[in-house]
Amino acid sequence: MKSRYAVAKEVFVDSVDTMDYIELESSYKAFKKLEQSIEKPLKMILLFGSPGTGKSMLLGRLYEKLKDKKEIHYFDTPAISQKEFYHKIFLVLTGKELPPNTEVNFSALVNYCKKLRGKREIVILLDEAQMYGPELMEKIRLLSDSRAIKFIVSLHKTEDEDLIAKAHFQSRIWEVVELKNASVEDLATYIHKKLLKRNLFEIANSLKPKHIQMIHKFTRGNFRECNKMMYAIFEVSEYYDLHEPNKINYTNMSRKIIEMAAIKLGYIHV
Amino acid sequence: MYDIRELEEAWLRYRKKRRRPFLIAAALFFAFIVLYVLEIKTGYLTRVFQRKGDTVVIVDTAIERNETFGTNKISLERSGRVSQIVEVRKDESTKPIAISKINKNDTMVLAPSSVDGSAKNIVIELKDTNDPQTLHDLEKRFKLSHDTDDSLFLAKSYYKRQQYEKAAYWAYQTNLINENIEEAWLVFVKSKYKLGRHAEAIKVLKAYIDKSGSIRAKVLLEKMQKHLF
Repeated sequence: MKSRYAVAKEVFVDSVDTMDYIELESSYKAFKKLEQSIEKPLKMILLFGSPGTGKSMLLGRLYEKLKDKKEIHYFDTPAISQKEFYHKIFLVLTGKELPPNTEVNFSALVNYCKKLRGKREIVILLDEAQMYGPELMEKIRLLSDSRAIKFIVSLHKTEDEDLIAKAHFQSRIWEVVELKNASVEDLATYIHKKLLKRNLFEIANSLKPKHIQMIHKFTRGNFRECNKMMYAIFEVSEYYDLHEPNKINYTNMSRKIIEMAAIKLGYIHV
Repeated sequence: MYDIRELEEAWLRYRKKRRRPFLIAAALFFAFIVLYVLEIKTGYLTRVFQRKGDTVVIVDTAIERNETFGTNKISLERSGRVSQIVEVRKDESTKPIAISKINKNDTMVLAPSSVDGSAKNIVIELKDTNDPQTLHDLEKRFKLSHDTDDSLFLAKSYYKRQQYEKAAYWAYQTNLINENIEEAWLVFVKSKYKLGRHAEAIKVLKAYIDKSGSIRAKVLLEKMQKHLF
């Protein structure tokens, strides 16, 4: 027999699936800001935040919403080389694959983009842009200067390489949308909505505000961490449900189980 | 699936660790309460903290307040000793006195707090009432001093030790010197009664009631007549 917690834990498997997108107050505001920014004559827009704050999900959501209205392209995985990136841009601009044994000349690409100015308005969503490196980022800037391509760049806040701090990006016309970790209220909404989407009402109700507080304390409101934590909680619950049901309270989540999950994930060091 | 047993053990260790500060706080709180109650009931801490090296400073609050003595026997407790009696030799002036210190050899020196400069040290000795030698010493001293405090103390001590013949004797000796000491009368009567001489005891008690009208004596008489004593 399958435990009810087996279904619950699957809800929190970490993936970027726009079907699983949960509308929260903070993410709604970020989404609206991003949507409005696209309409502005900006060359580059920066979506900024710590890992697990929902940047990829937001870009995916934006793409899904605008793909039929605008010429929008989503580069969800970063190109491993400049060559690959140029190929991708070539495909976006021409709609054709690059012929075999040919390479894209960057200057020609920029000139081509300049010719498109005023005729086409292309939006490219670049996820995980911190992996592109400074040289390629400079090329992206030059492409955006053509005003034919608008880049929405999503990147992590890293200590080693804070791209925003670099002068050549600061001098560009930017709109910065920063995503932060969820508040306790947002996290409660996130967890409950996710469970209710799969009709797991009883489990959702067993998570009281004090439990959400605990989860928020351990995960600091980071969605990726929260997904991991919830998965671990339901994994432990599943065991008790199947093997020692007398140890589990179905109407009120046990603090012990949350702490066990936190120990498992290293949030608590015993 | 996780190793739940291992996780449970880790969780138990974590719970223990988390509770530790609360347990320490509770233990400290409990210790504080115990000391507080001890202080309230016995004044133990005051004495402990007033001890200095080999010299013990004991301050009796009644004395500090310059109240006159209702009795010249003060019960004291000292570390390493059972209940002791500090006997204060009668100070003729009845001036309030302050106990300054107790020396290593258990002799307490009292300094009268008079302002006229005639203060002289009074030596009192710590007596162990359980020690027969102490009583023997007191008997010897009484022969010299004829102090009713000594004789009355002996009477009471022997009565407490159920040596009623001796108790009656010392009560009588006290009465010979000062027939107005009620305590001596009562110890005498009670001792006689305990010796089985009920009629004699009641007769003496009635005589004392006629003489003094003492309520305590009347209560005792009633008890004796009803055989409730």
